[in-house]
Amino acid sequence: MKKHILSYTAIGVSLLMAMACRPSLDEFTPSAGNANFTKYIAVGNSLTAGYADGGLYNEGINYSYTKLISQQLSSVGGGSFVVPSFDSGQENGSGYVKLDSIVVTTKNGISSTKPYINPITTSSAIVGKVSDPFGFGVSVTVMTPYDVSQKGLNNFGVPGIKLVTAFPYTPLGNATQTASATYYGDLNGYYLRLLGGTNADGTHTTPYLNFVLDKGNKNKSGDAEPYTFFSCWLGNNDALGYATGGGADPTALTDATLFGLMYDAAIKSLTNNGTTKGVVATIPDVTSIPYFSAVTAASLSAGVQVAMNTTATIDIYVYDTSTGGGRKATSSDLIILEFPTSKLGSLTEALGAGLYPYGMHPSNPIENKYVLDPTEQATVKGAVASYNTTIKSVASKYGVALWDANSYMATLKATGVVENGVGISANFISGGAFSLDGVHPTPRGAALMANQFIKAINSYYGANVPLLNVASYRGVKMP
Amino acid sequence: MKTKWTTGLLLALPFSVFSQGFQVNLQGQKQTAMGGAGSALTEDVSAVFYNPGAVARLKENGFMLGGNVTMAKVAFQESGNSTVYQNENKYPTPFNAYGVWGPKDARWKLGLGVYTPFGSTISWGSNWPGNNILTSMALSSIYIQPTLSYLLSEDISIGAGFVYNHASVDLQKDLPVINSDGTTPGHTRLKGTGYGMGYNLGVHFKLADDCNFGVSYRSAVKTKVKDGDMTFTNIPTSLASSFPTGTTFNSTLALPDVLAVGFSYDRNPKTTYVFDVNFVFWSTYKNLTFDYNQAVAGKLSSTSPQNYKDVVIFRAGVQHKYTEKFALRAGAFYGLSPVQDGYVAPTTPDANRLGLTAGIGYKVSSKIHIDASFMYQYVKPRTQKNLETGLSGTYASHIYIPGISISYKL
Repeated sequence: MKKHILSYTAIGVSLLMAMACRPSLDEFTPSAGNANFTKYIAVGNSLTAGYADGGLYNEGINYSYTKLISQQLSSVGGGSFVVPSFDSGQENGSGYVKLDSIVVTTKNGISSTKPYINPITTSSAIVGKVSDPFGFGVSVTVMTPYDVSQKGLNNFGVPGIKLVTAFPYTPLGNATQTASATYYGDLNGYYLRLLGGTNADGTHTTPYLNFVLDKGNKNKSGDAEPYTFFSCWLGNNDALGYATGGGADPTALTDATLFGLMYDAAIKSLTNNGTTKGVVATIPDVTSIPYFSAVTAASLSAGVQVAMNTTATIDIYVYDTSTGGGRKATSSDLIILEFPTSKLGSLTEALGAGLYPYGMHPSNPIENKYVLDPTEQATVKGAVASYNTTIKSVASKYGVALWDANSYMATLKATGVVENGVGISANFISGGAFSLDGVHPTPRGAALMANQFIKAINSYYGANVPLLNVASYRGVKMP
Repeated sequence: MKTKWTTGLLLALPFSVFSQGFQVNLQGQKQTAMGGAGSALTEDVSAVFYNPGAVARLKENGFMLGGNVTMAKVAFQESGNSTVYQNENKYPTPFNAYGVWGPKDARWKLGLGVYTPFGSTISWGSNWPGNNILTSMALSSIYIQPTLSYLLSEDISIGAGFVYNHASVDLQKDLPVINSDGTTPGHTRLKGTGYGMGYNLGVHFKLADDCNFGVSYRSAVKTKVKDGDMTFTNIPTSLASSFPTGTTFNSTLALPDVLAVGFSYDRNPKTTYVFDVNFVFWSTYKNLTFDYNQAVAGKLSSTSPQNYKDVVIFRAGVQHKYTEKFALRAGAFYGLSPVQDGYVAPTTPDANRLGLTAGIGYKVSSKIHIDASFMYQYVKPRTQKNLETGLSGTYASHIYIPGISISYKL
């Protein structure tokens, strides 16, 4: 009997031990493939910098797609990734906007929804403003400088930068381009900040690309330490500025031939003529962003009906570039998010034909700068298509990975995507991907982008960089 | 007054997935210890469940009380990532109680069974990639089954039972909305009870002194959950109208019908072999729909395709009576998964599974018997991308189920 008790005890104990066993899974082995992520630098514009909600502030900087990529690279040999955060006490940087309330008004069965979005100006890093220092029609916001030599820098993203302002390109002999790229440090407060500048005084003449190649290839002490991997997402602003200006300024659109030449030159430099590895991305069709879809002629019309407490048909009129007069707005006209709705209906004189209610009469249509009409849309789409042809061929020429952001963003707009049970779309506020400026991503949108870059890197370099759980990043903060 | 802003569109917001209820095959310790086979057995009063047709063949009246502890250890690894997530420890306790009575030497017997043939409990918490799909689920069903069995002849007996099912569901998940403080995600919970009805039929053949054959059929039980409560917490004020308080839901759980065919063979007076095949007709489970009493995120109902398929489970076991008082049992089963590719979800991390079982029986006296069993289930790792939620990864499970019962023979 004693023997029995012993063996039963043994059986019991081993069963109890077995029951503690959890299944193990080992389906993924991180690997850098044939890339080297020891020192990753990021080159680009506001998207790269982490600009969000209409400003550059620390939360956005820390959730930029580039910062998120760098976090994932850490398990495959990636080193530290220094972002130009604002100092404590100035963490709101340039300031940004937040959503305070959403008011739905319904009258006579017609509903109008208005989000109240207001600026945050506390804890700002802004120290001054310089109004149009060099006659380019650009005002410069000066912020507390960032000390690259003391803190280091891996994220070189500069909000607002275009490919054409990234470096002077002399072969085409365009004086304006050369000047604006040479003096870019004195024309863009975000770049001025990285250059350590305290005033837009005409002394900051290091072109952006030179700055990247210089600082990116050195460590903090100034000794040589070349970057081993780069991401470059430049070119969005070469089309975006034209579009957000309602197509009113054709010169805001970078010439496709110049874009082609300059993109080749930029990637040639960044890859050290095809030897350094990296990843680039195409330019999304600018009309895929909520900046152009949140406000429509129908929503304006409903807004007026509710405000005037009427069910009568309200026609909205927009300026037509081809006729030089007003015409009825259609659903094909893209009205920008920043259109000041308070203007609607105000009695003003526009086309020299007397006083008419703004936007509601053919003689006083919504101005060109607020509307991207179908002709202008075709212009910008054509330019973007041409840029993207360049980007794809240059990527393959210098052997870097490519994410086709254009086709991905088109899907996001058309059908949305579902990530771990969370639906994400290009809708304003509710879509979750875009921040309150309607152009730049939320942390959730940035995580989507980071994953797409990582997938491109993994497939091109045979790497296994782990992906992010997009669903765990926030969309728009709701009041 | 300006902006087109679609309030409701947070795609896939309402509970889009839920269910299967694993089939719980733990209705008797003897059968459980023998791989779950037992349609042909006339060993004890759990025949009320395994084959109502065998009840009339039972030698004595009696009753029995049993229970198990289900310890499911589930691991999940998201595709493209190294992190492995483990479910939280939750130990549901399926139970059963049976009583059988009939006049001595009569051809009929009455039986009553209370048991839990479907149920599932899984908890993942909020710190895993599927937290917007499921954070926890508790699904249980209690069948109450009065039964009448009749001995047609020396060799053939039949039985039938009526089934009343009381079910409860409790599902929770996070919602992808964030307050202005930027820290607290929304959360929702569906909680309700329901009932359904069905029946059992069985026939038992004594083929020879040492050979028995049994067939039992347990009908599908459509269980309706009515006026369950759907609650929302941490919803930002501006979205309150999309996630209204006082929301109730109705839904139907399609618990499938099961056909069991079993055979037993007494090699000698001490050793018995049992074999069973179960056909589980899960294909009735096409969709899971929740109807709401008011619009939730702009919708009055949500439907989630499930598209289960019919499956077969093979079972075999052996019992050896060492002494008059002491018996050892062992067995195994292999079950195919009803969940098709593309539909594997956190609620149902299901795959083909192998079960190994063992148990002992001890007669304390001629009236009191104690049986204990232990089941181990190995659920094959399965890598899947869910078509509806996009959650992509590998699930693996180990399930340990000890159990014990006590029987009293009148």
